[in-house]
Amino acid sequence: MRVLIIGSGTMGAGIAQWLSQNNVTTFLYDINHELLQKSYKEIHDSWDKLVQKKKFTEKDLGIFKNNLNKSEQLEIPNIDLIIECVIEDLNIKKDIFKNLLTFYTGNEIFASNTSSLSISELSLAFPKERRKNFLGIHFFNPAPIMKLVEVIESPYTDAKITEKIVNWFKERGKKTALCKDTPGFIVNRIARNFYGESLKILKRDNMSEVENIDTILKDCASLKMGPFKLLDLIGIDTNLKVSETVWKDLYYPDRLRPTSLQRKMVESNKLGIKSKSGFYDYNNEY
Amino acid sequence: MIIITNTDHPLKKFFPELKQITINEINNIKINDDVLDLTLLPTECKKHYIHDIKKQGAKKIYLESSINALFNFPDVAGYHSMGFWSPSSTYETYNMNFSLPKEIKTKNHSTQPDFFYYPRVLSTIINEAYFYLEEGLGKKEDIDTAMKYGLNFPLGPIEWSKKIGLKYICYLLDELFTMTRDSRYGASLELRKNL
Repeated sequence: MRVLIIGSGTMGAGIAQWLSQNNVTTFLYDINHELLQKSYKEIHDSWDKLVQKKKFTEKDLGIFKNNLNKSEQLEIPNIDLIIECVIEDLNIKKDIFKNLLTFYTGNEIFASNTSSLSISELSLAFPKERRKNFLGIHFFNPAPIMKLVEVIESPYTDAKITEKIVNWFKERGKKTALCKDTPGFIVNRIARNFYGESLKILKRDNMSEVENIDTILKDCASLKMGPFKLLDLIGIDTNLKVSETVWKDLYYPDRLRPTSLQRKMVESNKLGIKSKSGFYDYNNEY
Repeated sequence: MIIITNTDHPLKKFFPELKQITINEINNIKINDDVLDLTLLPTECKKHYIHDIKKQGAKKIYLESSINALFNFPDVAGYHSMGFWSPSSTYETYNMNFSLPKEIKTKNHSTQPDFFYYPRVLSTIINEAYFYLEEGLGKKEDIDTAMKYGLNFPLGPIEWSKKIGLKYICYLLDELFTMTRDSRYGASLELRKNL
């Protein structure tokens, strides 16, 4: 398969890197040529470091670099799969797909790496006869390391296309989880109360309990990180946005209601590592 | 000290030196000793049970409270969550003033929590997984795969629920609802159907 990635931000670059490492001829495109060049270089730099750490050999590196192509053009011959990885804006994404359809008029498979938008609604960017070839493929950050790929069907997606994509990723070492189009897909929905219930336990007059909750959940549940450390890492604002979107799009079920504590953290610019202060303080670390 | 269980409790084996009885035997035996409780019971049943073992001479009671609000049992010596399966055999305790075997790792609370944290948080995660199934959005295997590889959980929520026991998750959610009247704790139909 020859794959075109649209958008060379963190996710697009990560997906392109992973594909190239898995013997896939990959084309990375970005409308911003400076960002494209920067991302392309960062991928190469990452590979150089991985060779120094002996994760890969020089021979591997040669193959990876040969597989990865940066492109300032959208139209590329013999593309089989196009994955869109631009900002989370429904209209921008739809416009990109409409534009791509002018070049790609055959049996190409189109996918969106969206984490929050409706795959069903995005599919409406395609004429009826082409919607069967569109689905969601949601990677996790960092894409070269995280094994999970959520594969999301719209009501129009051809089951054979889904099966093809699922098998293709499995053959390349990814763990696939298939789901219907629903807010948050699987992980972002089911994980909500890992954060939400932990926030319910935490009372605003006892913020010293943060570390205790983190330690208990980490150790009793055998996790790498407790909920508050993870919130600080993801970004308390980013996490709140996902929580609010999932809650709203599921028509406000009580069990997924976000907490005012989290909103107050965001209003106070306590966003986690990115603002050097969240549930923990990072002023001495960064 | 005597151990009382209502199941073939997996942690019993770490206390070979202690007398072990089941909940069905308590009315036939004079206890006259401290009790390490390993029963998992809904709160009202637990209150009757505490009354019964005190009648039989139970002295200090170290109560299994993973599916109960701890404040419902003010007259016990200490609390623990050893009935609620943990993948790392690590359990929460409060006021357990005796040494547990080294195979059992504990996390002690310095102040009494309303509910133990791990059972409470995990039950709400598992409940959401069952809501997801109830809505016909995907398969159990895909949910488990997603949570293991997307959030680095040691098990998926469906597998996890089977290790703990669905009825205990449901008891805890019902207790949380009873105590808070917050409908966020309503157990999904799919969870109840599979009890």
